[in-house]
Amino acid sequence: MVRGVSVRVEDVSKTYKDRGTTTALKSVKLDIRAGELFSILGPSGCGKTTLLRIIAGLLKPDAGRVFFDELDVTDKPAYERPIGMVFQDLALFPHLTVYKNVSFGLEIAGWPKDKAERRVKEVLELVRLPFDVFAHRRISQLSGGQQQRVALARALARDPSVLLLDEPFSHLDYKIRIELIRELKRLQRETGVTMIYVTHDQNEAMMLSDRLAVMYEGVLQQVGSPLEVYTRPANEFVASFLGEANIISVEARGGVAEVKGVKIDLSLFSPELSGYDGRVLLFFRPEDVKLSGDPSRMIQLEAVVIEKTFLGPLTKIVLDGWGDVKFEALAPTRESWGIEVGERVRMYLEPSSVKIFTR
Amino acid sequence: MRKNPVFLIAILPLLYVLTTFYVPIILMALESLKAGGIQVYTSVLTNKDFTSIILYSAAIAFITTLITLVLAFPAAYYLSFGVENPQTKNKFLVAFTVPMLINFLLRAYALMNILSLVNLTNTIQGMIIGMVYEFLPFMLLPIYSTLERIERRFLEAAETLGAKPWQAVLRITLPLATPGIASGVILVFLMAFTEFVVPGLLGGVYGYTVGYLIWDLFLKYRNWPVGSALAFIVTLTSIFAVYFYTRYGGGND
Repeated sequence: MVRGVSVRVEDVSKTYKDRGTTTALKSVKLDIRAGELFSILGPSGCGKTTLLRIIAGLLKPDAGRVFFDELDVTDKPAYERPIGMVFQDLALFPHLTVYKNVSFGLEIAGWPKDKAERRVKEVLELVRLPFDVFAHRRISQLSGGQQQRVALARALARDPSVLLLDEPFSHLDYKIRIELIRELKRLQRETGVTMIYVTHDQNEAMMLSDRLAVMYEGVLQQVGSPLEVYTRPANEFVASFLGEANIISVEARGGVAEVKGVKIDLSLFSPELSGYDGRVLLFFRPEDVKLSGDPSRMIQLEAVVIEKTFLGPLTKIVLDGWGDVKFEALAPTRESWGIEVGERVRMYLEPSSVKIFTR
Repeated sequence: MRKNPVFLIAILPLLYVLTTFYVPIILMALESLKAGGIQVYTSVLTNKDFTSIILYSAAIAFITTLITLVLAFPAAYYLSFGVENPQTKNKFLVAFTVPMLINFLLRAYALMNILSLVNLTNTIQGMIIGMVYEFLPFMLLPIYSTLERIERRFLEAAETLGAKPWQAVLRITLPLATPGIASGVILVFLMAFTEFVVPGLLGGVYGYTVGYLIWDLFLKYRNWPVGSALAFIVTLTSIFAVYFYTRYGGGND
């Protein structure tokens, strides 16, 4: 029952003129595969919701095209696109019951009553809301999580090819959120619908997505699987937005950066950097900082421990004195027992776990 | 509770309303019973002249209400959904409400001059034009304020469910605006039903409405019991209408 379509966004730009001409999207290109659960991740104001609304047809782009499979839908209004949408504030109709909310799209499409009722039953079951219990309740009689499910059921009732979700879980408790994210993945498997999920929460995006796009200031920064984007961020923004990051600014001369007597040959990271003069950024994840290692092969970080936080299996250690800013290490708690605050320690970095960004 | 000054602040206007509205109504009811008790009501309700005037007034009020609704809803809709700049919105609202601040008699005379230019004084049309003019803001403002409270997301949600804009208006905007429409309709109908200034000034022979009849019964014929009975019937109808509205129509969660 796979009916998702691929969504292709070609050079879409959008400028809001009423707000002192702020550019919301700058020539965004995106290829979302059929049946994929795709997240658009970014801080608030990065243009992710604008992009989603353009895909929905609620907003017209200033330039660029939007395709569903091979069909150019750019000039089609939302009501002519095969979409379902879950809004951030849900936008459930307050004057209608759960049943009427879910059947709204079916009534508009002119489904006969008995067929519509069967479909409402089906989708309510799909989102795990027993028909007999919930169908005739008012929206105000539901909990936040239940309303969420109704919004999903309503969006799925018409059997859309693309399901658009605009931070739908952002105001729910962590536990319910995790539960709904699991449900969403199950729904994607069971229905085969293409899902586009907009969020500012990197954990949600990483848990949920087949692939994700990171957006910042109206520009697409990187597209890839969560693992790809996490381990090989394309730039400084992606690196610091997704997960914890240590970013240390270093002066390089002749392709060699030097921190506290530790020389780092930049050409090892990228051949283009041999002979590079100027500032570079060293990026590495806290979990890649090792408490012991081979000094002949690994980069040595000599610094003072200024903070130690026990997090269960792992311990977070904040260090200062190597490079221009403090940096963090995330070490197995067992190995970090001997380390005390105030102590000068030596830590190690595998060169392969370091990335260099030039500005 | 008794020593709470807030209680005093609230009780004073309440007392004022009680003594100036409810007490006279009771006095009026008692007055109506002075000549022959409850019979006066049966005689009023079986008097063909009276009932035809009541029905005529109701018909005029109905037409007035319908026209104000037809005029006010699109205007309120445009104001709420079509005008994006809040300052422009306010200018429109001021334009609609400023006439309400001016003494109505002055406005009615002004309107009389306009209507005489097109030979519409002392006609039903002229009278209805006058009443629509008088009551338009009372229809527009409640409708506008409920429209303003409608979440714009609802219409977008309807659109993503396949509803064309007019279908969204029919299925979302209109039902959600019902409380405002209902209060506008009730307000305008009741005021139009008992109105006698505009019919008197602009209606000529067509202006003999129930309000005018009561006026005559009290001040011309000095028949206070019948006048009171008629007034009481009209008032009671109004109170019931408002009661039914607040009980069944007004609640939209």
